[in-house]
Amino acid sequence: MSHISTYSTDLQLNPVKGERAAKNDTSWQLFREALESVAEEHGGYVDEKISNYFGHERECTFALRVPQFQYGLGIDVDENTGRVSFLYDSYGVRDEIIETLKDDVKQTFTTLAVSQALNDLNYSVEFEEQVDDETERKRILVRGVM
Amino acid sequence: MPRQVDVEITSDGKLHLEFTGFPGEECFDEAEKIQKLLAGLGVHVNVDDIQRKPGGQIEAEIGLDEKREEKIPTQEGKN
Repeated sequence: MSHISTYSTDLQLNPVKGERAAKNDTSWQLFREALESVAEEHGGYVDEKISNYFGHERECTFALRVPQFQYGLGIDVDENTGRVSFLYDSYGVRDEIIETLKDDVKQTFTTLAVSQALNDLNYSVEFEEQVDDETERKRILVRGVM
Repeated sequence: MPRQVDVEITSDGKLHLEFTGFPGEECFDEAEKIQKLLAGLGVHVNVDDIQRKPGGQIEAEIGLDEKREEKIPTQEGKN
């Protein structure tokens, strides 16, 4: 028997205390890798603070700084639960820019996690990226063969 | 017969998994292993839908694999 299944996903990193523990945890490593990949794709970088319309800065676990969103997309990870939440000032910024960045983070992180999971199960893994002509949204295909 | 898992990750974070070449109910065990590994990596999944493939489709997949196996000696012969 073979089957097809569909899942919705929630991001929740492993709860860790302190920067050192976070650096050694695979879920945190993959999340940082995903952020760096998205930042590079959008010509930006990963930081640890965002700002608002008035120029006030706020520290967060991670911040995605890209030219299209000058205040930055903040990401807080709860140390006790690992829950991931986004924070930002959207004043004067088009919603679709922010939504695209958030989706890119989720999609890239999920892709890295799926690849890692298939690798752990000894599959050889290949990637393919497709862009829907109508919506211009990305679909990523990961194939594991054993 | 090779086992294959195709995973599509959509922009809204949904996962579509297709299992091919798994005998019996093994694909469900494999799906559970993948879910557990993903949870450990920070991606928690909720099952929205599961569809068993029809028998005809599985037979077609197996037939496809037999053709692939036949090609292997030809490729080796070229090298």
